[in-house]
Amino acid sequence: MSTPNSSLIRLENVTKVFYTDEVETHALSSVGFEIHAGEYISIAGPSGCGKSTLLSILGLLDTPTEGEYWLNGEAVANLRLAERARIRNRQVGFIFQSFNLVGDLTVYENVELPLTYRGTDRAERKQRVLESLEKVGMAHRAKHLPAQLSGGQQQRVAVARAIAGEPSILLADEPTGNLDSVNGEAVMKLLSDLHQAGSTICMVTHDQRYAGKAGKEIHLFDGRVVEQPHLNPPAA
Amino acid sequence: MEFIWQDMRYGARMLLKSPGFTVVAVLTLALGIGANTAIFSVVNFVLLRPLEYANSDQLVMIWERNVKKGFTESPTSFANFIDFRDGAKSVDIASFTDTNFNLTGGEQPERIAGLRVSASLFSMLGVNPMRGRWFAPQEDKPGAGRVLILGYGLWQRSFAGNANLVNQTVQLNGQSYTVIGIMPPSFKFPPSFSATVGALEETVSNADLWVPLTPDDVPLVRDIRNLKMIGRLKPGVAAEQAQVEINAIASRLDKEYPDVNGGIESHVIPLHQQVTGDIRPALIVLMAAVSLVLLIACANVANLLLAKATNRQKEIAIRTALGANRLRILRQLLTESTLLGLLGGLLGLLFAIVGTKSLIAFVTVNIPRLKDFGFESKLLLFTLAISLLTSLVFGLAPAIDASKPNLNEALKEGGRSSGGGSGRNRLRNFLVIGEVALAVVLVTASGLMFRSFVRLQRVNPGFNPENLLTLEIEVPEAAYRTEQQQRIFQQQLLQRIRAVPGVRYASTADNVPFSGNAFNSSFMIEGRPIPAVTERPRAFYRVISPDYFSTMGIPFVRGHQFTDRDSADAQGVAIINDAAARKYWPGEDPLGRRVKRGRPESKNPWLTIVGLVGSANQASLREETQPEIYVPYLQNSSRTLTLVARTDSDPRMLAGAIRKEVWAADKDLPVSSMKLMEELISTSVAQPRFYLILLTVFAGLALVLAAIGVYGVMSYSVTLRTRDIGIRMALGATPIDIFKQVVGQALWLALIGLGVGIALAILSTRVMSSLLYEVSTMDPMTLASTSLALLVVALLASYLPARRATKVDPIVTLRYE
Ligand SMILES: Nc1ncnc2c1ncn2[C@@H]1O[C@H](COP(=O)(O)OP(=O)(O)OP(=O)(O)O)[C@@H](O)[C@H]1O
Ligand SMILES: [Mg+2]
Repeated sequence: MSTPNSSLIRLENVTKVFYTDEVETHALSSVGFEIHAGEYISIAGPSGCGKSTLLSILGLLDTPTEGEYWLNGEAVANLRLAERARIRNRQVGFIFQSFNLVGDLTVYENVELPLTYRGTDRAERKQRVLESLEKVGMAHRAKHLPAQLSGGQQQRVAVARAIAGEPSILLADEPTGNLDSVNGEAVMKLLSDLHQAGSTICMVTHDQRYAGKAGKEIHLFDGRVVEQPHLNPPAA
Repeated sequence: MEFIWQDMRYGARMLLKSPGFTVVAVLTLALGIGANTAIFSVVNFVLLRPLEYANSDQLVMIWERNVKKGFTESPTSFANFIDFRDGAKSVDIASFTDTNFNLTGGEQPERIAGLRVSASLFSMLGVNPMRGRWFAPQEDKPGAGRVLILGYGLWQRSFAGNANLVNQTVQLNGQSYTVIGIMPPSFKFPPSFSATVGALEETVSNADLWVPLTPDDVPLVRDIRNLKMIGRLKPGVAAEQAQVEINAIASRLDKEYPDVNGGIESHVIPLHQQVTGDIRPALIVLMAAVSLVLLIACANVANLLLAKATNRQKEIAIRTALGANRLRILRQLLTESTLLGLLGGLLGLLFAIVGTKSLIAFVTVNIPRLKDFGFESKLLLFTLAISLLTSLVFGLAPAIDASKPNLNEALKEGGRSSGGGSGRNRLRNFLVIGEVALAVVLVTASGLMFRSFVRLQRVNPGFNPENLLTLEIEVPEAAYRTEQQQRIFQQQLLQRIRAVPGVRYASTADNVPFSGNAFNSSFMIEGRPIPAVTERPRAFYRVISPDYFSTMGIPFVRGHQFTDRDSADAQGVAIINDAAARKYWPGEDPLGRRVKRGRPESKNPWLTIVGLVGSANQASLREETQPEIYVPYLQNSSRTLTLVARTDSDPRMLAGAIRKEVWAADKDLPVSSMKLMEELISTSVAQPRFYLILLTVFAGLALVLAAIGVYGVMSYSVTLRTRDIGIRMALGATPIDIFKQVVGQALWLALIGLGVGIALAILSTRVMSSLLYEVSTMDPMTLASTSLALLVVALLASYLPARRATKVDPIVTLRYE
């Protein structure tokens, strides 16, 4: 089983079923696609269609119930917890809707976090943290605590944290969802710039304006990849 | 008033609503309060309770002091006593001396601890006899009839409480005495205490009967010091004033009789202080220890309350919104903590009663006055007070914190970034650091005690205490009139005992080490200039039979042992120990030198030193070995004998056979209880062992409480940071990273606590230095093992929360945004 060198991510027949209280939820059904290095992908679809679940699997936070997943040529669908953490740390950068900065760490320490878990030495950590903060224009706030920043600023710090480790792919789950339009624009601009500079990005968004900015769109409906966006939510 | 009732009802409902919290908090408090109540009950009984004599605060002990001879609490002589008694205007003085009596005529001959006392003693103590009367003033004059007063215990034991005993006669040491009075059960005299007589700690204990002290029985001389003086201060006179007056008399005696009184001063000490003196520092240390335990318990409960406050924020916000002011809320919260405190106090009282009783029953220890321990109603008040105080200590900070209207912060924390860094967390961390620090102090204290005890146990007493049986015998004067008769009896006795199968060696001595009967006296060395009275050499005397050294396992260094040829008409011989050789013949060979017991003009024979043996401890493992002179029993008679037998196996198995042989030798012989040498030594370290056990219990309690504290804070912190942990996992933290983070935080708190605690321990354990044996309060071993213990406890306490943290599912925590 080999994958083409050009595909950074390759999913085959990925299915995710949640079992709760004897109810089976098929969050993803036979999902398959590829992402190549340098691509900018957006994932769209109605609420509950499985976008976040897909992103969790892509980010190795979760494992598929069935199916295969290759990341950088390595089959990663069924790794041990610690192994997944290691790959997540090196290959994946997360940006969340609600920023998710660690409240008692400073901006600098937040950005440093993924590097710490990797065992990067201090000098290199410093250089990378400052570089990433520079890229998102937050270097002057390095010593602040998250609570002292605006929402837009917090999300920029989150972006800096995601890129500090130079991951193979950035995963963003509605990164503008908690922001007003001005700040939302700014964060989208940031992602575009990163894409221009070579980053691979996979972003979940409701907003059709932002989805359009991506090079490629994947539409999900009821856990399946579909050709065209369904404009109406499925009947209950 | 109605408000309070309402608050109480509501508080009770709140406690019932979270039974887990309530149970843990009440138990924690009960342990802390229970330990305090228990120790306080002992302190109160031993230290604070007045002695059971009339106006006992006026009673003092009066001692001779002789700085040059190194005596701080020396008895006086009969003649000196009369001068003190007649000279003193500020204090009435009586005296007493202990004597053992053989009581015959009952079922078995018995040896009784008796006391010869001034006739005025009983009226001085002010305790009425239960039956009969006190001694009359003329009854301690020469030629007075023989009378005695019986203690309640002996009256019950040996006379079956015979109601008609008063005015009847009984046989003491083969002579008739008329019983004139019987004392009530509560009467004890002398009270048991210890005094430092010379280099030795002498223990005084209760007597069973009292006879008048007359010049017929105790020679009215100046140079035999065997009378202890007790005094009652005249109303309004302080002990210090009496001291001045007695000192003046002493210096007069010093000038008038320089040969026997050279250098004497006096020492007047309140009787209560004399009785409780030694125990004071130990009880203070124990009281401090339980206070620390209670403080730790308070910190724990405060921590629980702080954690609960977070959950109650909403309820408090609603109350505030409904118009309750801050004071009202504060009162509600304090009512709840008071309820907790009272519940804890109630349970603690129970713990204390059960704990103290079983402790006292379990540890047979020679703590003055503790024998008759009982609880007093005062204790209820103490428990109530300490429960209320405790409630305030643990309840106030959380209540102030919870009643703070901090809506702003609450909003912010729930907002954009995950929670943490609030003042409440800092307070919680601070409490845990404090708990750890206090636990460190306690663990250090018990560690020091342990090290000291181990050192003490390892001390080689200079003989082999294993398989050694001792038995005190008094050879009655009436039956064995001449020294010759005594010796023959002694030889026959030893033959019989040696013949018992399993007995390897048997011998006698007038007293044995650790029996509390050793005494020392001065001696002369032939050919040396006569030193001033105060400079004369002194040594312990021991009259022994051949085989004593083999029996005891005292190494024989050189020379030759006593044999049966060292008889009364042969040349006088002595064997000395190497402490004596080192002290009095440094760089010389003492063998062949001659010594004479007593004063220069004494008619005692000169004794040639024929042998040298190793040194043995006399009364305690703590002391340095003292010079000793052994003399053979064939040349020195003694009516008081201790039979020592070394057996092949457990000597208890042979006790019956040995006793049988003793009575076969003489069926009328009063025999005291048999004691193993190991028991005697063990008794001498009973007190340190008792403190060690108590301190270890408290240190253990402190460790458990501190562990619960660390667990609580870490567990709460993990709950609080679930989201942070999820974020970290999303960023690639492995379970091990997360585990390390939680444990690391706990260790960090523990380390700070440890630092503070070690500093506190070094400062505070100094108060217990008098309880330690050859261990410095800065003992690095103890400090190191304490640190290790604390870190291990912190590690264990944070293990479960850390495990829980690694189980956090990042998807779940990050989804609900
Ligand atoms: N841990 C879980 N247990 C049970 N069901 C789950 C779990 N996680 C997700 N689901 C279900 O799977 C389906 C997909 O959920 P997912 O969060 O991926 O939707 P989404 O597309 O991200 O929706 P939204 O746009 O609202 O964020 C939903 O029906 C959801 O209820
Ligand atoms: Mg979603």
